[in-house]
Amino acid sequence: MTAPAIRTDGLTQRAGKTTILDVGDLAIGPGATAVLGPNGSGKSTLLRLLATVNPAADGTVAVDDVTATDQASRAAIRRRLGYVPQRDGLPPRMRVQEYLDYVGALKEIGPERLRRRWAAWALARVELTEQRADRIRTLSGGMQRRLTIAQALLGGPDVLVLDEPLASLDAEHRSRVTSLIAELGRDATIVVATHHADELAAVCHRVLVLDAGRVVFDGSPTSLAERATGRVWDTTTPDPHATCRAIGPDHHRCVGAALPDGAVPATPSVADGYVAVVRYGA
Amino acid sequence: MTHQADNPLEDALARAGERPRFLAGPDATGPGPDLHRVSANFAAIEAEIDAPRPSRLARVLRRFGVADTTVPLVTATPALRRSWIIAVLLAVLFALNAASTSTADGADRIVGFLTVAPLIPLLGVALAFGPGVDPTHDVAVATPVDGFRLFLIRAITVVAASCSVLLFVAWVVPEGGWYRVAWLLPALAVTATALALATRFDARVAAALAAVGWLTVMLIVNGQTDAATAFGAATQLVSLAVAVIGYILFAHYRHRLDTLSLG
Repeated sequence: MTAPAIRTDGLTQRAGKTTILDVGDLAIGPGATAVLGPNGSGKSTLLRLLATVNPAADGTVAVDDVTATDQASRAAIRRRLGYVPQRDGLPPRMRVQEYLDYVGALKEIGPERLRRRWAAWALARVELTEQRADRIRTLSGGMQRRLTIAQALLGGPDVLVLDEPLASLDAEHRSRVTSLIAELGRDATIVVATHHADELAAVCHRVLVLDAGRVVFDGSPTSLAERATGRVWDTTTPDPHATCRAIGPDHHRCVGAALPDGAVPATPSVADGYVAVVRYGA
Repeated sequence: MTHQADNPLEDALARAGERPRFLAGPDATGPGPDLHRVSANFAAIEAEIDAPRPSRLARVLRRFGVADTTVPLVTATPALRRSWIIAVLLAVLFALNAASTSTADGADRIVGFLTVAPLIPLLGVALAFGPGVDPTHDVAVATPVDGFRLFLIRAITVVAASCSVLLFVAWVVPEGGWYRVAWLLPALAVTATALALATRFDARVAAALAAVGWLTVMLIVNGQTDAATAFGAATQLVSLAVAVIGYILFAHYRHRLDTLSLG
């Protein structure tokens, strides 16, 4: 089975008269593609367009040879789609199993016995099997996020659009969901918006960096990391002219426009490359 | 991802203190069964055994022949909660109490009830569909189900639920003759108007506009004539026409329910 290709053609989104996204022509897939970018850069807007949730102001979205132009074509794309929205949007009074049965029905999975089997499989993938009879309001934030991921897996979609799937997850589950995405990316086309550059973007085949609604980087995680070569150093004191983050007690990783005098260059990570591109136009 | 989830058969047997030959590792002799297939079958059986019992409403709907994929869409209607039904009942009883304290007789006594009753299903429709009231709306829009169909299923569900309550209350009203159900067609007209408006506005805004329209008409009509005339044959016919036109417009602009607008 070949994973599908998502194509955008002159894709633009506007809020009022302001253009908030202009990614033009993109070809995404197969495999996993990470979308990085600062808050407000248009990541969620792009994902909602790819998931056909919002209509585009201009341009089109297509999956393989189906272009989303009307209800029938959108439905055809959505039959292959699993979508994790930025906010969980779970009905608090419903039970976990009941919710998955509901989403299964929305995805036209039937009969009920088949929906139950998909639900059991999806819950096992996100380690929520034991919570299947619980009310959603009793689940922790991380469990609710995993349930949102589980609903996207129902029916075995070959296109997954995941908006911040690691939000609210603890370190262990971030790692497991990252592995799950890497595994699913072998057979499906995945677009995942994330702020976890080193954790999630690093396992993707491709990274898109958005800034102010435009694609400012498009390449592999390795090539993104390389953008920061010669701009990264470790120090005990944060440099006010650089972008620094603590990586240990009295230990900081800094990314700047250039290496300061006397600093020893460090091996850049994907996150460093992202900072170099967004902050310093590398 | 867990050991238990990946291999429920092995896990269950380990809990029972047994270890079958095909799990014995490289020392075992002879070919064993396909462990993945056995595990998958076991997981399917376990899912059947452990599945929570469907709700009473779901069981009733199935008994009445509602399609298997439609039942969860009905039972998930946000405005179908017990608390909402109770609120509807209280609102109607309040209107009825207000009517019973009136000094007028016959149809005039229940004019308050007749004015309020069409707003009850309308309120349900406002709370049945849309990003503001349905937390699952984003997920629902990204599925192949037709937004028009989903909204219609939910609208019918809440209208049926609220009309059942209203009919019960109308039945216990001691007087008023056929006027006790004279709200039915106006309710359908107001609801259909809200559905048509919901193709352009949020469902709550659409319902508010329809409610304001209905109350304005009632103010004008009640100021000029008695209740019997206000809810008479002419009103019923006009209501029927408005209901049909509203539904036609709703169906015509159905494509607008298929995506979410920005903002």
